[in-house]
Amino acid sequence: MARRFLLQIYHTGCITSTVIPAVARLDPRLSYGHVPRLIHCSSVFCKSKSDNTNLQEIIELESEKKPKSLVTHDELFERAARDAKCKASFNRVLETFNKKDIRRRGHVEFIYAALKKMPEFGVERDITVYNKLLDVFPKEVFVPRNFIQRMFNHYPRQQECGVQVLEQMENYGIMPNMETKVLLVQIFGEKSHPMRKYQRIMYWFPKFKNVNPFPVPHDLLQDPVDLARFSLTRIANDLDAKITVHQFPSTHITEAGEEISQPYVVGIQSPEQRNLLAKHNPNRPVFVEGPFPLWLRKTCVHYYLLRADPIPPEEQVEEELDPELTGPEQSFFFPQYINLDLKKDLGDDDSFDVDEVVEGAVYAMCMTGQSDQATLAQWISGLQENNPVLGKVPTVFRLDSGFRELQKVEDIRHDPGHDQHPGAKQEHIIEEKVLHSQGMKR
Amino acid sequence: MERWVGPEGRPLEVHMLEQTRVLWEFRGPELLSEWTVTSDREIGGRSEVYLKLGRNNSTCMMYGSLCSTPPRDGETRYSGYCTLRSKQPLASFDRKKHYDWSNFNTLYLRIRGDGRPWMVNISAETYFSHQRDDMYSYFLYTRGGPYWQDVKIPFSKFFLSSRGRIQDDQHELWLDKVNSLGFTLGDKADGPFQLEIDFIAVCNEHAHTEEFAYELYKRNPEV
Repeated sequence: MARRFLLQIYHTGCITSTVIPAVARLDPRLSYGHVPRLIHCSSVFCKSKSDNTNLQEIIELESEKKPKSLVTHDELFERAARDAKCKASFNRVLETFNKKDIRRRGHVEFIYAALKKMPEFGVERDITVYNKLLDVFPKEVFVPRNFIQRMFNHYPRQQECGVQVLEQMENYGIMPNMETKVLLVQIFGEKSHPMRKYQRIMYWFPKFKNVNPFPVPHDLLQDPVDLARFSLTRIANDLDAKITVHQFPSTHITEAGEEISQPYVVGIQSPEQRNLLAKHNPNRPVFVEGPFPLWLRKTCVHYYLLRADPIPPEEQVEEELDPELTGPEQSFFFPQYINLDLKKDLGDDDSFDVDEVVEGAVYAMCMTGQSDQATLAQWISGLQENNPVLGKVPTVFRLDSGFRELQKVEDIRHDPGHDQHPGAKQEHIIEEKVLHSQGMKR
Repeated sequence: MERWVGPEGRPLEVHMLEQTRVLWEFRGPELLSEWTVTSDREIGGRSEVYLKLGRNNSTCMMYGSLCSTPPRDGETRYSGYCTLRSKQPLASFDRKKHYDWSNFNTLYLRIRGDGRPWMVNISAETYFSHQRDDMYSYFLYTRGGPYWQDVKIPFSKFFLSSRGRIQDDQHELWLDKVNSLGFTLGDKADGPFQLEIDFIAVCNEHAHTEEFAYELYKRNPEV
């Protein structure tokens, strides 16, 4: 069907008139002795005319020195990478290859080389580039024509290569589109291995597209304050929690000419945490701990906690709810606490038979641009506006040594398990910093 | 009624009325020996993984660092995984024992991660040797942060995969002979990671009636 359609195009000759002169101009040897087979280019990409003069230069360069190395097509990319590693130069390399040889000789090696170079050019998440890469395959040649060809693995190397392109798309989470399907049908036929791979991707990808209950966008927010807001709301898990930006990032130059940059301080506290902090025994210290990592896809951010040690069992007070007491939002018809001894049926016990893990309460969380004590003290003093008890409580800083700001994957220092285990943690209790000395009790 | 004995020597009444069962809790160092940790070191990679008890000796802490550079052996293309896997329970003379979870329909985990996505793997006993690598998996997303996270995964959601490839003809997981449960990290984000597990349990979710979440009928085109 597809072939018949292409033949129709051939007969009408609408493309013939535009393409033949271009080929003839590029390399007279190519058009010598045979009529260019139009089925080798898909109808989609044939229409786009590139800058032919530039191409001609590249091809001339290519034909001057024949590379002797086994890796044939890396050089093409490296030459393109010299000026700019971007989508345009990648596409230009593909076009150069397409124009160089009408038979697309060595296209499997070329596609493998291109797949390897894609992350370098930053096009690994671009569906149009993948389609363009698939378009390098000659059309119609690898489609099995009879049942024997279909029964055996027809052109296995080429099919493997096609599967490889789709697998790389799968690994980067790119969903193929209709154009990919059309190309695959044109290249390999309806029931080939790459087509099967395409069908599998299209079957499973939509199923698992939205399973993540804590979604992270692919392109993270650029502004560190916005990113801190996003991460803190994610870890706080409380819609009532209120985010306070204690300090915006700013840079100013002093009179002496020194540049002073102020890091951002973003904190979050929920009403529940504030109540817990209000009930905190002022004789026991609260701790500022961190930094703890949080991964948002491939980016790692760090946050700090204000927390207390677990309350020892002798100090724990059982809170009795006063049945008479009603808050302002308390309904008169539904009491806060019901003690009904409803008979449970046999086997209605849905609780788990485990001991509770005892941990200290978390009072607030924050993210800063700098992990030194001064910055965090600013956060604590900002918290004091809403939590006056902090003025009476000694605050101890238990910070991990080593500064880690917002890091990308590349420059993360190897430091396995750097937190939450006391062995690796250097507790430098620097000082018991009592922020407001008038409230100090000794 | 009392003279009836159910499976594993427990009273039949207890067995029949059981709605939840805690499979693993990590309240002591000896309980860590029921687990094995592996990383891509075994294929020549460079990830590191360690297992220890948490801060107050009552949780399991798996930590390390992931490195997804493939080994330079010329054939391995992908690397970068870390795995925690329960050991196969054995009876005397190294006979295999299996977990029987057929009374339950949901896996219940209490975990605390650092925002990375994990994978929960269950391997069940199979009959033919070509099914040896069959594994049922589902995703486990962690929120990150200082709070514990309760995760319920219905067993019907687990899909069949073999040697890392999701299979075309799916089948539901048979829970009567489960060999092991595992957690795998392989999200290609190089750097430190950690996962803290409080306990692992199975429970019976009465509102959940789904038997298998994926299509079982013959599809056209048959993929």
